[in-house]
Amino acid sequence: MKRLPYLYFAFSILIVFSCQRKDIEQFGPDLAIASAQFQMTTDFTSNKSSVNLAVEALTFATTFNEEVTWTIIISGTSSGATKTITGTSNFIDATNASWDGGHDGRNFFHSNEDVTTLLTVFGVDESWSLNITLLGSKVYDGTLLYDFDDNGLVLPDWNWWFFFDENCAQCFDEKVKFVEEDSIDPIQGEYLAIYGQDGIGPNSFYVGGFSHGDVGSFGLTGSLSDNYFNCYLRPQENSCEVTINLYEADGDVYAYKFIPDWESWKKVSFKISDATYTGSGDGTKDITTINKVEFLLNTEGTPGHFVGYDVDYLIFTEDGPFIP
Amino acid sequence: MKTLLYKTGILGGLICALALQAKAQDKLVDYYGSFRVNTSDNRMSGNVLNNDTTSERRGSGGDFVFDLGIKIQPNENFRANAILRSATTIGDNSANTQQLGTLTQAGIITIFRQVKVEGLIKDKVRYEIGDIDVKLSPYTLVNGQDLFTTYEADVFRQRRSVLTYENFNIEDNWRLQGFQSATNLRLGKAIDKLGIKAFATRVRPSNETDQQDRFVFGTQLLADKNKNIQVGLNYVTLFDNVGSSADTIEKYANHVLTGSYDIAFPTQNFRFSLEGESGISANQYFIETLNTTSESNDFFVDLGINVAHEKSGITLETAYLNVGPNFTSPGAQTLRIQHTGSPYFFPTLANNSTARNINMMDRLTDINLYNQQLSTGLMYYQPIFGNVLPYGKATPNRQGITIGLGHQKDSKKLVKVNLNAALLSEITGEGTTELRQFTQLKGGAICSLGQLLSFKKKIELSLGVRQESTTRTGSAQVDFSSLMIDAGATIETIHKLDLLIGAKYLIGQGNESLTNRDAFNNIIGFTSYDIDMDQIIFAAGARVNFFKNAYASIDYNRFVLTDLKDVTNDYNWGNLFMNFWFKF
Repeated sequence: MKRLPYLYFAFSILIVFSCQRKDIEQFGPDLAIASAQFQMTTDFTSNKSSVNLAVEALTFATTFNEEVTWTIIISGTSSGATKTITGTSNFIDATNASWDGGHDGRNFFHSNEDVTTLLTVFGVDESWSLNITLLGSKVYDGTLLYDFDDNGLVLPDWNWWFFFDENCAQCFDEKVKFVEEDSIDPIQGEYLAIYGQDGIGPNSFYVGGFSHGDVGSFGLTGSLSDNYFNCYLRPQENSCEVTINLYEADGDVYAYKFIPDWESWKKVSFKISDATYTGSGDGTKDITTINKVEFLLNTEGTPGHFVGYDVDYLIFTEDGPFIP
Repeated sequence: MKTLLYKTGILGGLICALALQAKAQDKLVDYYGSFRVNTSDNRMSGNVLNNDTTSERRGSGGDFVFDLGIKIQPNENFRANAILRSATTIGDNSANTQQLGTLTQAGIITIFRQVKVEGLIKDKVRYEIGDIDVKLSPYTLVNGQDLFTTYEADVFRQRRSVLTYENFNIEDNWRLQGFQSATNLRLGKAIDKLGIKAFATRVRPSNETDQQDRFVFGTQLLADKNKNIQVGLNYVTLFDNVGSSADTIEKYANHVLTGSYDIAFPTQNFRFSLEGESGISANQYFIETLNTTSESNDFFVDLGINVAHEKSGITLETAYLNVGPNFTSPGAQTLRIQHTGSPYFFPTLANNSTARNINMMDRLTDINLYNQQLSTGLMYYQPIFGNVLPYGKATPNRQGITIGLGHQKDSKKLVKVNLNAALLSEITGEGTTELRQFTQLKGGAICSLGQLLSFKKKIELSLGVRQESTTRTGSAQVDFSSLMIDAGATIETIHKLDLLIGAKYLIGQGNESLTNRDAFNNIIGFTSYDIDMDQIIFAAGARVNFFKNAYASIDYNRFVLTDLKDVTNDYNWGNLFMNFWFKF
């Protein structure tokens, strides 16, 4: 019995030393820091000084006298969007520095904006820049339903319409154009806004919603769990609940509810398979027959607060959520 | 928010009324708390403001803070405990228009700072429910100290006490909400005492739609024998409660299990002991939008030998440390301070276009930079403030030897001296197969000179030094070093009036590569960190000790940042701070 603590000690050590780590020599991508002899041997250039990213990519080129880790940061001067390309090599060309117009953060690059590209090399204080004009922005993968821009329609205008509870006060809806103060907003152009205040009657939480007319089928294919619905959404100050209803041709309705507990714009994505059946139709989910999207606005918490949200860029994607 | 404040105010009033009634009935109500008034005046100058016409140059702040603690103890085995806070900003005259019956007005906040019930079951099992302070071991759950503050000058320690009070940084505990229980069992001859502690807390509430409840559960068993043997078992888990929200967009689960040991072999003059801790972690994280699940497992060993000379109080210790690259323990690796936080004073520079990096002065004075949430990922840090063990003992990807030499005569509290060294390296390279080598030397002394010289007045001197270096050879060379010196003196002059002086000096030189990590903690890139910078704080002040737990102080701090790579970044920050604090 006296030896119990020593046995425990030996056992503990034994257990840990019997653990084996995977034999990994390196974590992360290659890193090479420039030496004191570093030189850029050919100028930093791009294949275009103005580019339409809807039809072609922008590529960069330069060479160095040694292998280094380099970073190109592309920044939109009006959108605030950024894209970072990085690599470790002694050259930059189309094979390792090609930009298709995608972005890293929340903001999208805009058409007809100037972008700056800044090249830095790890361990070097000096940096190199280029100015590029974007004639057109990227067309993203997926079935874009609507981005509420006059110039950005993919499908015909579907006569979006709004509906409000009969007791809704201060209710309004509008298609809002980004103004200068909104320059940090993610998507160029216009978005849809819905606001209101209820708190009266049997549906005191319900404020209203919006939907669109019949457009036939969206033409979605694939499995329910592979397809996603995505949009960008910005809630107002008071807490609200958002319901997104997906309608099928046979009358089935599937709902996805959430409380947008964030500030400013944020991407919302959910699998079609995660939307729950709400009781209409035959209850058989069939992605090929989805033909309508509806947004609802409810007060969250105590009814009677003025609530609302802005929404933009409604897009279905296959094999994963929308990745800009 | 306002609704919440009203509710808490009304609740607070009810509690006060109940408490007063209870006092009248049972005389078992006790009050405690604190009253603090502080003001600060801040001015910035220097090269960084050249060609800058809009960034702030002056800032002031000040608060009245009254914390009223009420303990209601209807019997000796149960106690309810609440601290009600009323606070207002000095100079906010809207507070003067407060109407009778309105507990919350613009300018005044009234909130519960702490709510807790605690008690004893069958005189054996202690329990706490509500706001609880929890800590296990350095590798499982600990709220590690910020910077190297062991030998901090009294003038800075006094200032830091406001931070620790406001952020509940009590003895390296995390302040969490939940349940905690502990008991000691006597198990006959085999084990003198078995201490059992367990807790369950919620660190993030569900929003009922897509964010699930996140819990931390933990337990500790400590068995003692003959005062010379202590072995322990620690377990902590941080996990999402699947099903607590309508949708599962992420699912996190982490488990850390460790064994600790302190086995002593006392002789006539020396006490040899074998001490340490070793354990394993398992981590799993699923993020639906990325359609990815990440899993990682790893282990650590911290095995040491300690020799203490009982008579002289001199101790010598050495340990072998090996913490795996994938060892993941959010409870131990979360930083107390948010290095990416926005400072309260002078948050932006360059005509308000650039966020100012936090500096040594912010870390000493800014309450809001301190972190209350456990982080599932390794948090960003600035190497100048510590690069060898930035996440404390549980810093992943470290192996090597630590050595410590100390002397402390607790009986007289005359002198405390300590010297520690760490010679470490990485286990796996980051961005290269070459490994970083780390060296850390730190030590210090506190000397009660007044007592040593048999003066009646208090004279206390303190000095702390920490030097660190990081190197890596090969194609991704790193050569970074930092030095931190902290010196101070406290001199009692006339009755109960102390003069306080202190200086902090921090220098960082060289290049490092900071890691960029994704949500799963994987390294996805690097950011260059290349600095040659000095940061200095000079402080002088006076303190009047009215009576026990009540003092008034005034101190002036001069902070100077010198960027030797770019002098246009230089700036000075003058800070005058007055504080009255009464604890009862």
